[in-house]
Amino acid sequence: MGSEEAPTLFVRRASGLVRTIGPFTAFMIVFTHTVGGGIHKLAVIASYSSPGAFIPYSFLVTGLLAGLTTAFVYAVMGSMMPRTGGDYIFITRGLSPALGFIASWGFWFTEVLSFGIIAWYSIDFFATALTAGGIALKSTEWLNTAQWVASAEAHWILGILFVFIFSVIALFGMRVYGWLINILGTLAIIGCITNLIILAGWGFAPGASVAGWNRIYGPGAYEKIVQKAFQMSDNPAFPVASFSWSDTMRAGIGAIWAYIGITAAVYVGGELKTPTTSLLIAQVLGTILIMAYYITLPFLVYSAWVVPQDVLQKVGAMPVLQKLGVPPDRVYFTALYQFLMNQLGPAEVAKLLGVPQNMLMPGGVVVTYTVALLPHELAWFQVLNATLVGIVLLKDIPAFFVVCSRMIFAWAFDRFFPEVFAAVNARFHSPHWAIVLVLIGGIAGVLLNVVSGEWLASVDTTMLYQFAVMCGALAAAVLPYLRADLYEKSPLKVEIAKVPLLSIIGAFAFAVNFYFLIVAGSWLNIEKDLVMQSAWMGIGAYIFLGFLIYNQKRGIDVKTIYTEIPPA
Amino acid sequence: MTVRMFFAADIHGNTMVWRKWLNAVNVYKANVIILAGDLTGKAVVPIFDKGNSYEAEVMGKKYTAKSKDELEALKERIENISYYYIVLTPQEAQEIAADPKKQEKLFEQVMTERLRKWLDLLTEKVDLKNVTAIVMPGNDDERYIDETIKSYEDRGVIYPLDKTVEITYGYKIISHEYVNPTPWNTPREAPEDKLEKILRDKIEKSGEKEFSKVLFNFHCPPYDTKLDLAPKLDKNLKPVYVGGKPLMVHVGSKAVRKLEEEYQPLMGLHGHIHESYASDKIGRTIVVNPGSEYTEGLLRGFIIEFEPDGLKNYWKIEG
Repeated sequence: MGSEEAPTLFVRRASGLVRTIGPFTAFMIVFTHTVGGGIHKLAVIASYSSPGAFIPYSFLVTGLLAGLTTAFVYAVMGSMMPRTGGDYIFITRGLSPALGFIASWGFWFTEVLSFGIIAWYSIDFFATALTAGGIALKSTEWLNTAQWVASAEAHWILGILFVFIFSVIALFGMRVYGWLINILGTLAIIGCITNLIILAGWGFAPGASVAGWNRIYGPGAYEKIVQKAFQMSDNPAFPVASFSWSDTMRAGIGAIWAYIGITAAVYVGGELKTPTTSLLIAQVLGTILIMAYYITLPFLVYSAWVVPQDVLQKVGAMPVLQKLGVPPDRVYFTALYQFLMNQLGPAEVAKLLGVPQNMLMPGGVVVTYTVALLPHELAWFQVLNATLVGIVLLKDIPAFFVVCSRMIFAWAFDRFFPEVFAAVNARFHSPHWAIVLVLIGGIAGVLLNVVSGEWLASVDTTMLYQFAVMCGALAAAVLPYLRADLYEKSPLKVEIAKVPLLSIIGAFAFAVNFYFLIVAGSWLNIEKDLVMQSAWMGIGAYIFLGFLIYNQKRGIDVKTIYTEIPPA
Repeated sequence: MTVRMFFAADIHGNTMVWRKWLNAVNVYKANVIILAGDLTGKAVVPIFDKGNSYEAEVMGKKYTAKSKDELEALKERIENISYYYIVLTPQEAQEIAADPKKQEKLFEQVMTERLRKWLDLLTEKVDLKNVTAIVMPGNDDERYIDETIKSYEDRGVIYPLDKTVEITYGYKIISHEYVNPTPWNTPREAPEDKLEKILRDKIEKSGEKEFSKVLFNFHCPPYDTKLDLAPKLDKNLKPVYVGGKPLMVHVGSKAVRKLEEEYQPLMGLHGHIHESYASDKIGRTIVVNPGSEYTEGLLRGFIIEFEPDGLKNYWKIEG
């Protein structure tokens, strides 16, 4: 420990939070928040939901244009203002207090809602893992347990349990929680690597997917799926189409959703030991690594599960393809299986394959298509892969919890939310009341999902995230001009044609995020998404206005609050 | 005989300014000296013990002390810019940085140490049998410093917050340290309605019925006077200038103003707003704020002279 790392000044009235998070944990917060259900579903369902798209391109384009630029400007802004609260801090200080609060309020909604729903849906991943394990080990007990885990009862019991356990651990502060995030993140990374190993190692062998599927469901099972799907080619949802750039770009909104979390480290800015280094590693390097995984995984899934031409010929699919004008290399088994599961239902599919329904693996989870590639003698690897990928979604919860609780803390610290939520436990240095409120929000997320019959989970909140990052990027673009005093602390002061590089990249990120905001908006369900989001943002506006009036009535100079960077 | 009072405030940990305040007794022949709040500073500079030398970074500049004398000079340099210091190893500094409780303890330690040093100087240099010395905390001071001041009461230092202090010719001082809310959430703040209640209770409890010889020593200045003007800041925290002059806004307390309007004490002694080095009138009441330029090592104050039958004179000084 050298003196260069030691603080050169202690300032009074700190927030009570402690700088305990190193670059590795910061990276893990980003990784665990980002890489979860999104990619592991999208990698396989994109061929069904966006048949004209080639999803690796969607991840490449959105990653380069929106992900990397946003992560970069957030890293620079976070290193200028390394305070807990993330973009709430730098939008309120750099652009507009009202806009900063509203943007943060909206993003908080997506976060708190999401992690309750994640707790709910992580159960699906475990059910898949148990099914895969049951098939691999030929265990009826595993398959029956999987059936119970897949039930609504198990969903709400386990969902609430997960939210509760992770909340209680959060109260012990970031030293403990950091370890938890690191362990879960490491397991998930191993799970991700096993996906790549299986798909690259076994998926490229000729006929591997056909042999693998038939090994599980009996000879000819693969062909039965393809044949049945092509018999239903008149169905409007028939998922076979030629490659299209416009479909690929439209699928980008799903890719954007999968990238939510690449800025997660800025929300713990006041708890980072070395903010600049940590943010650059966690968010910029982290986004590059995540992008590489996001491109590689679906590419390998597409490659491994493209239906071989001999199968297409055998089931009489060629005339249909010729009629549709689709090349034979654009037919994916993942799409056809999902198509039948949705159109016929699992009972019919099970009947078609001649297997009990509890043996069916869900169509929208990557594990279905990895474990099927592995030979029987590697049953242990199937179980390991399924279990680790099962953790992939569950491990999101702690990172979501950290981001949610720190946003509340930051509002309360600025006195734009009840001040009790800025209280920090003296022993564990955790914002305990903010954590309790997030716990309530998470449980509400699970229960609302039960009550609404998963209606809540289908609410598209991508737009709220887009709005927040769009404002964050705009704050970065204008900061060198509006807050020269803060820009002086920037680690990036390069100028091109006398325009700060931060402004150029910020403006670019703003434009791209604005574009995806419009795309996300065009997808909104007016009755459901728009009403709920408008209502939530309206509540946020009232809260901001209410605290503005209350603070002014108390004689607090609100403008000064939003001019100064709060203590760390 | 005229009673001469020297009133100052807001020195925020600067030892040089404290010494100047003590010297006021001799220089201005004061019989009563008051330091009315915001005694403590805002930051601690770690001086790293490197074995055969000491290193510190002060206002962005690195200093190395290779001998005891150089170390003492470095400490004095830090003290005179209103900061505290602590000699420790880099490892110890990191341990403190990682633990808010240790940071709080560090501040408590350095603040009480410096205040003790100051109060020792006061009891040594000023003849407290003949000079009334009043020392009180302000809104920016933590609660523990009260006990430190009180512990010197047996040596003649007056802690005025729990009593009405009577000085020569029956003049009485009612003191309070709270202010209306600030953006910085300081330790002693109260909303206007609560502040009014606290102050009114205190005035009522003093038992005074007639206020022509009463002084309200409230740290917070009254609203909408020359005493509560702070420069309006732009987004870069720089003063906003209109017509070449900084644009000022009123930030004082409406409760304090209301009570001074209502009770009409002889004087209102205030501080808190460093930029408002001024006097003004609320009805018959004369109100003063000596302001502060502690960062420059400057002492600002008001000299106030009383005769048995009333206020004789008052004027600003700076040194």
